[in-house]
Amino acid sequence: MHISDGILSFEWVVVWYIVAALFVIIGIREIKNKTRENPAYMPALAIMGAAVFIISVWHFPVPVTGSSSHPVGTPMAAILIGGFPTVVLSTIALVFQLFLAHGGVTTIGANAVSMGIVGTFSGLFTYKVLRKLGISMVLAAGFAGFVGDILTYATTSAELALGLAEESSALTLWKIFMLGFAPTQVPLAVLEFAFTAGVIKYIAEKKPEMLQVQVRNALSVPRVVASLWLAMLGVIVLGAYLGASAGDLGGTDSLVEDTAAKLSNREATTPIALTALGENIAFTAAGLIAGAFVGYYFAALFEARKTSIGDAR
Amino acid sequence: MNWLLSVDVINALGTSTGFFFGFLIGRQFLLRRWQHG
Repeated sequence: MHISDGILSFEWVVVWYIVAALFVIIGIREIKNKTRENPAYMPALAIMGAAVFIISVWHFPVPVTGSSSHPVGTPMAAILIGGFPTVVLSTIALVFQLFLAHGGVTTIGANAVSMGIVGTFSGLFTYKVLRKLGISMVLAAGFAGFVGDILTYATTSAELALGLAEESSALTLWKIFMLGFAPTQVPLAVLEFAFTAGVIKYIAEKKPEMLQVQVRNALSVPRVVASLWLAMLGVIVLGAYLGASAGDLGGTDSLVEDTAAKLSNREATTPIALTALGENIAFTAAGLIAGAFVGYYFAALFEARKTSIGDAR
Repeated sequence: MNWLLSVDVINALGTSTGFFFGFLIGRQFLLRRWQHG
């Protein structure tokens, strides 16, 4: 869903910036109020910021389509820290993602609208409606993830279509872009369903009020982390192996954008272009930095500080 | 083996590996701070 510079026409760049700015301003105010009321809100915000940043560039190859894409993470964050603060976090994440050659400077507004606003609020809305209908918290969170993911890409398609509508009807273009995204994004939305449900389940059990319950060290965290890492490598390698016959596993963002660029005779540019090796290093470093943040705040939120006998007066 | 060496697959593997190692490093960093402070 990362639209690069050079694709959207100037008016739309401005429109999306204004829409995003309104939400960001409200979000900043809400963050200020919440941190004043509850200082423990800050670590939750930090962990979600790092999570949204990394989840929304975490590419997974999809076997059938031979392309890869990423979930968005904003529905999960919205359920945990609220809608408007999530918009702020996504916008910050989008700025940092420029260093991973994702998105563009002029399109931060458009990308913040799709992932930050639509992904966030459609997920949150789904969650709240399903909860009111008596659906379990975990299932409601899962559906929130699924809906938020799909609608993020539907919005990106709409932004591309509107931005290029003079070439062809916006609806026709929207269908073309949606067809480009859908085959890869639907499996990713299922993944988003699973991890959103999983994270909410974990927090509901371990930290129902999100910030006060301390986890007993029943499971060895490094062991769980190592298992998750190996499982993820397995999923990626298997996906790549099965998908390689169908395509070159390039990101759907650029696949769809190439179509958009060809249709409009415009050229997609990105402020920071990386070589293949540079991209590999940048992605690994991004994973490392975001992981360190999440690990640090995970310990702060979920692991009890062990006091020595001397401290236990 | 070309499929394994494509930029996007290595990016995916790199992000995953970086994230989980970073997680352990970040967590360890806080645990050590608690231990010493």
